[in-house]
Amino acid sequence: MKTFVKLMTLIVLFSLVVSCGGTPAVAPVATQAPAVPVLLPTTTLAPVAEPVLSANEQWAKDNGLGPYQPATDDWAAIEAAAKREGTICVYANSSKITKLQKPWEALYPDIKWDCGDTDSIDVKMRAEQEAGNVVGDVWFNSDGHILYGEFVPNQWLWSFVPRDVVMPELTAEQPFAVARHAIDVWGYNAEINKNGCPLKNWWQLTDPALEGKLYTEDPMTDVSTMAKWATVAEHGDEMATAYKTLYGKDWTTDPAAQKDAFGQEVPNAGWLWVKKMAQNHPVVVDEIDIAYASVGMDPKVEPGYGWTGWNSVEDTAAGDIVMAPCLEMAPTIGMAKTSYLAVANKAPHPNAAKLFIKLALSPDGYAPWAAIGTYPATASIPLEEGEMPFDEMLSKTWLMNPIYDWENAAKVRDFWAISLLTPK
Amino acid sequence: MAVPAIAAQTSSQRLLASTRRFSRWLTSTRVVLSLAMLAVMFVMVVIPLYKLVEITVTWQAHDLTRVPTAVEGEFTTFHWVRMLTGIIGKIYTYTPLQHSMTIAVGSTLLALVIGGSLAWLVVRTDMPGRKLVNQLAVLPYIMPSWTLAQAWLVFFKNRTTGGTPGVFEFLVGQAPPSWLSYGPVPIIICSALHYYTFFFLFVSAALISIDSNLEEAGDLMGASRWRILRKITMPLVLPAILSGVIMTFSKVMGTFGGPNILGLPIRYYTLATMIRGSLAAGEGGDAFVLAIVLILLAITTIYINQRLVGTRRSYETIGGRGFVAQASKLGKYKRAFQIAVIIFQILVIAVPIGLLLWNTLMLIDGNYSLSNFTLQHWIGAANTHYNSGEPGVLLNPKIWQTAWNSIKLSLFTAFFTALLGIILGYAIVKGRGTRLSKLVEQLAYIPYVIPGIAFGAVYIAMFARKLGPIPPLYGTFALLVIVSVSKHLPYSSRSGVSAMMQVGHELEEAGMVAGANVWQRFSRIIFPLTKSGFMSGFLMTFITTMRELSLIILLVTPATQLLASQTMFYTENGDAQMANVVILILIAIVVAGNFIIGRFSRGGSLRKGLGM
Repeated sequence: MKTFVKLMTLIVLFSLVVSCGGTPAVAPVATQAPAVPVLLPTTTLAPVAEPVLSANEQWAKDNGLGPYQPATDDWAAIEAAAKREGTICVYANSSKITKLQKPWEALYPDIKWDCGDTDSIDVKMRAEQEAGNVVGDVWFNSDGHILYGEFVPNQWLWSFVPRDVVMPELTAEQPFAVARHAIDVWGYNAEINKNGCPLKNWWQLTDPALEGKLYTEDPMTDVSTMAKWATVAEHGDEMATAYKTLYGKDWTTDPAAQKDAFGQEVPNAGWLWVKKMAQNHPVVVDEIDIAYASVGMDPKVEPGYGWTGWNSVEDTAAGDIVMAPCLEMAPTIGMAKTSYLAVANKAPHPNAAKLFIKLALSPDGYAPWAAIGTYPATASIPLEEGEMPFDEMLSKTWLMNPIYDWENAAKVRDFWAISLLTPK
Repeated sequence: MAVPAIAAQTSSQRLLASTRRFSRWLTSTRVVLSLAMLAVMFVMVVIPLYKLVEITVTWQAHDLTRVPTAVEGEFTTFHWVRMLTGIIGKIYTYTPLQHSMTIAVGSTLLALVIGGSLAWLVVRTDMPGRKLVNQLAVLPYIMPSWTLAQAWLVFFKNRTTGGTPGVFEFLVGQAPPSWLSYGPVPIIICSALHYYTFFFLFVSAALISIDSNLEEAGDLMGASRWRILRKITMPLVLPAILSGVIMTFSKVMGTFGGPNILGLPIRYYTLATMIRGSLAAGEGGDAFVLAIVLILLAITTIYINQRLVGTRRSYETIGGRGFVAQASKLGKYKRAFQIAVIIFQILVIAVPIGLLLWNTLMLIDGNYSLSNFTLQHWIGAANTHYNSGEPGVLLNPKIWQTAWNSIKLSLFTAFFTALLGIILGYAIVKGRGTRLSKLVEQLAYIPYVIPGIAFGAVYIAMFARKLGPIPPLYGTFALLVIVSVSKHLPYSSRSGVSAMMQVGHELEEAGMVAGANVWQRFSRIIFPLTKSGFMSGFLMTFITTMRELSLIILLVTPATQLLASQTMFYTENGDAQMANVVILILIAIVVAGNFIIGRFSRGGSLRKGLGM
């Protein structure tokens, strides 16, 4: 009897091993499968009278998302459906999301709030989509280059913008709801530099005298900084003009513009700036430390400059350190980083997701992020007092281009890494 | 016609005999346990490894921007060629590898000296205050590994990272040189001060179980003190030291916290920080090539270990005989040793915790004046000027839920890990020398050297879908337990093995002769004798699970938030003081857990295991 039990246990264990062993062999097929229908919608040829919908498209159609969103939103029906769904789970990259819990519960007391600051949203959502086991309903995150570069072609996210929300910047290619734009700038110590920021040109940052006095996040490990330096590369012409303004000669005459010992070419003045920036060995610190590091707190020490969010000016203003943005930099004073709202494909609570997007795009939903240097994308939300209008701001900053950034972020990372090793 | 018939008969008899032999082999306790463990390892280790390799040899989404002709998911050697050759290989692989090796070797040696000496002082001498020293020796390990690095930075930083001067500069009036502020030297020191606990635990456990009759016998035979140490004591503690070497070396190879804080500002990348960076940059293929390089190194380490501590080099020292332990006399140096040890422990424990506590009482970070003191971060009401308008940590109901999640996870993980550890120990030790036993041992060790972040990344890919009979576990609490158990198996497997190695065969055989069945033998003989191994495995895992961050960061969802991940969110949000409050809560829970577990496991606690 005892032997029999032992044998049975063994058999069960073996079947476990065998059944598990089967899975990895299947896995590659499963991950490959969604890749096929992906191209279908974009390459649908005219002769096909009724295009065959992929499973994802069918789901979007059933739930009125993306291109299938009806001309008017029936909010009563959406709310009733959301109540049946019972929960909302948002993946947000900002801890301020917790401040939306109260407004949400006031509006929809029956729908459970299961949202929070979430790390690696792209990794989580990618895994969920590949497995068909979706947990998060809403993408509330920047990293537009991943959204447009990877998630949209795979049909992993669907756009939803309430019909009564006016969002002028949306296009057919970039239809996703924009929660806000946050401006990144070069910060300086306003207490020591009483006459304003000494820097007037991005090329001054590559001056060897500033080696060890520049603070940024690490483009080797931070995908967002990679995308920002890709944005510099994108604006090669403007960087070329700025070079000429500062040095009075063409950027091609710069010794660093030549092909380096590793065979690496410099395609334009933007890439040259990335290279020279790497060669100036900026100190890499966490985003929030940049504000402190760049301004310093000891007046005897000459402070440096930090690349950081404009809104951290306000954070530091509470303390006894004074950082201010360099507002006269050529060719741009900074970059506008966009935060998007999108519904996950096959989200378990699609209607609650719609309600959340509606809330997030309302003045109450924007309030936690309101600060100088941050802009709502909806015309109806007022700006902070004294804040420059967005159009004016856009003429002085670069709006990050998610599609260019997707194409080039990885190349910029390699280019940066190699440039670190290249002697000046 | 008769001849073939006879031949047939003998061959069928032979077949029968070998079948019987096989079934007897198959049903022996150790084989059943080994095979069961093999099945567990298969799910927890082999499939993740397969997944890891698979990702390195297929095109990933990001590659399409580099190589437009690539097809996502198809086979390629792109990542391997790229990461192992040319200038890219030098930047992303070889230089970080060299850095990792440097800090691993340095920290291991330093930790051996510190942990070994402390163990000897506590177990084998008459130094006063040994009980306290023993209890405090485990504390540095309880704190998150980067606490020391953070404290180091506060003390020794120079102006490289800008901002305020460090305490050193404030006191001496001169900035410390960069080699003392950042890079390999501080990383080695901080890692050694964190991981010396391994050596302390292993060596003291080994020293305790050595009957000093063995040494006295040497003494009687006229051997010198040095000769006794060399010929008797050293061989007996050598397996423990080697365990410590392997645990420390491979842990430091994959350590993230210290190199992240003390290496990154001057771009001193190690394999671990590079893996994390590549994953964050969306370069999974690159990251996992690096992870596999680490794993291969680990396999080499295990191989060397098995050559050194094979069957011949193990000694059963818990026999059925009497047991005497006698302390060496330190004589007039007693006090000097005690003072030195106390100063050391204050430096390693009290200073970092003090700095953290001080920090949580500063309204504005870095302002050391008295007017800046506050309890805002602990019990302050929500105020828009501070902490993004969040109330003090203790007033936040979410923190309590988070703390409970952490405790639950640690207890579950510790229990299952310790249980599996004892079973593994039995299966491995009783089958020592067989291929099955070696295989199980090697597999059990592998999770230890897979960097936490890579492990999490693979688990999310594995368990987001149905896996054999296992339903999709992503987003559930169970997955956090599974991944933590997998990651911590090596701890318990090693402590299970070293506990089991010292239990003589004759004890179990005696039980067998007396007619005890497997369960009785286990519960009456094996378990009581290895209970200290079980408990130290339980405690170790409880502690490390509590503060594990990189492993679970990809797997937590808003509903399964943990204390460790909460500290990261506060840090990222710039609320350093709030993060430090959470760390102090975390340390308090672990210390309390340590105490309670020790209290309630009558006589079988870590303390007892260490001979107090």
